[in-house]
Amino acid sequence: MSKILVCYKWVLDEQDIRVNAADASLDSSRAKYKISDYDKNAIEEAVLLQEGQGATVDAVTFGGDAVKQSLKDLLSRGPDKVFYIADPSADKADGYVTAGVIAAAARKTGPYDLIICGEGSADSYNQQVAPRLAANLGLPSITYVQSLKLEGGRVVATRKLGDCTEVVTVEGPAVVSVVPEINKPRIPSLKQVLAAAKKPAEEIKIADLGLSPKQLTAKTVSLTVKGFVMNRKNILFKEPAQADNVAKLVAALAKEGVC
Amino acid sequence: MSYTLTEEQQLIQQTAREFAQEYVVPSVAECDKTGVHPGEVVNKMAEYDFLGLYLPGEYGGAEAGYLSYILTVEELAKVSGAVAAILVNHASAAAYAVSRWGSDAQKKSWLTAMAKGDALGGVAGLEPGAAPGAGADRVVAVREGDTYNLTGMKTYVANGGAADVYIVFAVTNPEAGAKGLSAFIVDAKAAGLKVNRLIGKMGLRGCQWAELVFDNVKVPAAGLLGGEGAGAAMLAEIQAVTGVAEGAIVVGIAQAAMEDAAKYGKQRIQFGRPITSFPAIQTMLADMAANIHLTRLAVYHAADLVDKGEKFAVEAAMIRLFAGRIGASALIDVIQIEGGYGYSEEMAASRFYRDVQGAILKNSSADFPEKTIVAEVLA
Repeated sequence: MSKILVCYKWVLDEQDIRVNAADASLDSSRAKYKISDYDKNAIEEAVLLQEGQGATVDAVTFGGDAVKQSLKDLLSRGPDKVFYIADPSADKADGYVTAGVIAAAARKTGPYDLIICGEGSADSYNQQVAPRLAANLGLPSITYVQSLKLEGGRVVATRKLGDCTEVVTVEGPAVVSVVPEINKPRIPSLKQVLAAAKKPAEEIKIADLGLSPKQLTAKTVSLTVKGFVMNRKNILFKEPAQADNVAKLVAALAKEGVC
Repeated sequence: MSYTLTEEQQLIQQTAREFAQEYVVPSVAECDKTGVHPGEVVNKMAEYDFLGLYLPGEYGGAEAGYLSYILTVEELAKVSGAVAAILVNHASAAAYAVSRWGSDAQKKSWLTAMAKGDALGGVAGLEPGAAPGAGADRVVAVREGDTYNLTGMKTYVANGGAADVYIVFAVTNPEAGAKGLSAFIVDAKAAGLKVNRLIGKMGLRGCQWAELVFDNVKVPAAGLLGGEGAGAAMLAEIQAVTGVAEGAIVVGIAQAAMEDAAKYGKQRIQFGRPITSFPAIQTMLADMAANIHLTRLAVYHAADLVDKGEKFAVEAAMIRLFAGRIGASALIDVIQIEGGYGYSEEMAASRFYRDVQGAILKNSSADFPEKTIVAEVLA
């Protein structure tokens, strides 16, 4: 029976974050947490393989103390067990640190035939963790996967590349990152929500992962995070001839670099 | 009672919210326009365990508690009062009756089907122009050996025409007044039971109301629920427990309407600034928020009493009294804030207004809540 690990991040819901019009600073004081939307696709794909091929599915997450709130939500979506690393250092972690922590956890809880990640997180969307995780574990990496199959020990994936696709086959184990098109995450039924309380959730202490201070130090530093405010220009073209308006519109768009 | 929801309750709330957006939103306009029972949405609710949410696990329910169920009703009502009302009339009214007073055999056959969503329920209590059991066309049940023969008419039967099973209140002893009323579990396919007509109405369109005619409907004696003469007390308790859930419908509708109004008000510029900067609008929104919050607390408290098996009739009556007032007043203010848009069908306010009027008032004439409350005050 295949054993799958799915990675997820517990993020602030962007819909609850307000942008201060005066200085574009972000106010997240009223924001609730959620499982990153892209990771819901990763979870769903793991669960589809669980249902279709009888695989067992573990989940893993690395975050601050708030990550403990995610466990029942995660388990209600189908995984059999969740491992979590709750540590305040996660707040400053970048893709390098996160991939290192998850790789160390996977070595401890594995081995796995397949590791699935979302293509990026809903907050920073750096798309770093999956390929770094593969490199860290010495496994093949397949990114931007829009369909996925396990055939014996092989992983067959179709990658979405701009306006074309690429079919990739690798000998497992492998790390894949999936795009939202791969599936539609299910809404758990209420019995699944209630059953989540009976599934195992195990904490892994970051100190038990054997990582050096250097491995836990981010390589990137976030200086500021600001909201993006879109200002309308409200330009009106009022030439009598419609053709002139069109010409002016095209010229204005070209000036803005749109066409 | 804890004043914060458990993690599990919050997850159930989130699931109901996601469900409503995914499966209820697409059919809301059509349901309101046609008034036809949204069968596909109800089937989906069954698939997601909503229909047996608080019912015992032994009979196929999710056993998540009445408060969790109330949270689900509230989330559904934010999107569709009609869908929430369908659930309430099934779960709080019909399924509650079987769960509360049914024999083991009745529970095994009917409650299991209702909890799993194989059978939608409705309660047939009201009669044309009179309280249950007192109308000229009242349903009379005459025992003949091992069967009861039911004859008469019921009206305003919620989920009527869509339900698979009805809890029918019929007179078994005409001489005994209220003590002569009994309840029966009646298969909707029983010979002689006919949906005379569907009754068009102002709001909650999609939660069908029907007139049912009973023409010598033979019900096995095993279909008698809770014993002969127990009907009036059962009906009062059903109305109370349903009232709690109807309070949740009002809270859901009013909350959604208030959020719409606040969003609109922030965008609507008048005299060079958003209308939400004007004290008159702020006062309306503040009143609404306070009233909704207080009603929500009362509803959650009453649901907690139901879960604990404690008395809840007075609290339920207070909810019916208060929620009925605040729902209507909130929607009048919402329409004021949204102006022409609120009055038109461009926004949901007019539907919310029509729905909130029916969400809590339909039982009031038969059993007005003030009577229950004042009896407690003067006791």
